[in-house]
Amino acid sequence: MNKRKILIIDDEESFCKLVKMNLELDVSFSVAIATDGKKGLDLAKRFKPDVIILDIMMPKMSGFEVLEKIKKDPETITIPVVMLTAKEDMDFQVKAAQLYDELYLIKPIDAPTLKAKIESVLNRRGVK
Amino acid sequence: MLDVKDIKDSLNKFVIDPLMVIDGRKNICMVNEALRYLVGYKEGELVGKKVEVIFADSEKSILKKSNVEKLIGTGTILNIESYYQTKDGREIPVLFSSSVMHGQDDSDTWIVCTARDISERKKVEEELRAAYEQIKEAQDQLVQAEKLNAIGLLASGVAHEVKNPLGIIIQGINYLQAKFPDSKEDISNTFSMMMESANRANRIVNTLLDFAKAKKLELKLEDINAVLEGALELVKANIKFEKINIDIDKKKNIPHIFVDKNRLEQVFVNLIMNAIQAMSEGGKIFIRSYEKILSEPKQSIYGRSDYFKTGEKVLVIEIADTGEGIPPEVFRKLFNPFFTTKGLHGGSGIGLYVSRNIIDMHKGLIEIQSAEGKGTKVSIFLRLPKERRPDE
Repeated sequence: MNKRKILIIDDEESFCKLVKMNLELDVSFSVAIATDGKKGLDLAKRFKPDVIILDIMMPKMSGFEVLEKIKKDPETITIPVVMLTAKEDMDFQVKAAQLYDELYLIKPIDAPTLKAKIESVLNRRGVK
Repeated sequence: MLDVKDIKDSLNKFVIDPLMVIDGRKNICMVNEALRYLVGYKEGELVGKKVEVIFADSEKSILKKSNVEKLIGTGTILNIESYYQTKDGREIPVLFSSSVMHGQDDSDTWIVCTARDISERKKVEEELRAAYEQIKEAQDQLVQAEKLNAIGLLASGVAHEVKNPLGIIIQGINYLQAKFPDSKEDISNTFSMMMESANRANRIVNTLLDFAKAKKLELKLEDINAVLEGALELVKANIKFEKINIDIDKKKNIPHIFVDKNRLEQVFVNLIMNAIQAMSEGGKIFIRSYEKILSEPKQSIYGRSDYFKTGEKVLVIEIADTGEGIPPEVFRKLFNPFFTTKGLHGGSGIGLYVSRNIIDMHKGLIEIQSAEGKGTKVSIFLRLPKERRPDE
């Protein structure tokens, strides 16, 4: 069985772990974690996820910088990205939408909602 | 050489300060023209009357009608502020002095009373006091604005820091709920309580963020009834309320007005939620929207909005409940930020503050009337587009 692969890039390690634990309750998911942008970009190429969940407010490299690199790299350009942030700011939403028309979610988000959003992105991409 | 009559005539005509002489039994024996002029009596009307007749029982006065007899005659009184009462009942502030005179016989005692009209001085003092109050109020508002700015900045910074751990807590509870789906009632209740608390903390953070958001409106011509309906739908989607009937009466054909739909919807949601929370035992909410020509000018009691003129046509939105009403001691604090009566499970005390600010930004008014045990009515007055104003 081909697992649906999700990559979470977020500097909050506990959050990453819990999202992974929640998603993997459904055995069709396989989740990888990166706690900074650089590791995330590296994993995006090696793990080849079906969806990337990307935090915006991160030290060193912001989520927007990571997003830009993902969308400029031919190896990762087609991977859909779900932007996730605790900062409810219209500018972010506009920026994310204008850049690559990506989905934008506000923290805190509960597990069922996050899973539903990921599944809707996967369904649009035809990933079963 | 002057005789007694000449002296009396001189006192009567030439002493510019109001003067009277009373005897030992506090009967008025003589008054001069200045006094009669001040209190509006004709010649002969005061002589023989008790001295109390020209004193007012003003609360502001030390020497008042009710204690004048006790005080006058005890010795010399110098420059006490008192109030004379005119024949037609007006009160005139005076600086009162009196001294006791004894005749050759000990039983011959007179008291000479003079008074200086200090109406002008009082008026100036009152104006100064009012100016001082205004300056103080303006200063308080500035301090308050500074404080709120600081809170706003802090709120937006803290919100990010709080939302991350909240996300972890919520995901953690979700995981435990999923891992132990058939747990005993006490355990599943504990999960529910934890989740509810995390959601509540998130709501408070969101309200703080609302508070901190830039104060900029996106004005568009909107149908206010549609905004009201949107707010009602939001409330119904978010909370369950039983035993509460909502009676909505929207006047048709009311003009569209320039408002920020989302911000105004937020105000209506706040007010409807407040009404629901005021009726824990159930009740009725009346929502009305209509046009009205004002029969009197209106200004925000907080002095932050423009005046609405008499005869001006405005749009009124009323949200009334049959709840417990607002106690007088709470009334003055209603719009203070972070003031709440809803306790642990209620709001953060920002709702009305934010609502008033939003209405203020629309150059409108928010007015609250309440009767304890009967209910509360909140009225919002909004301006019609200029071409609709009958006076323009």
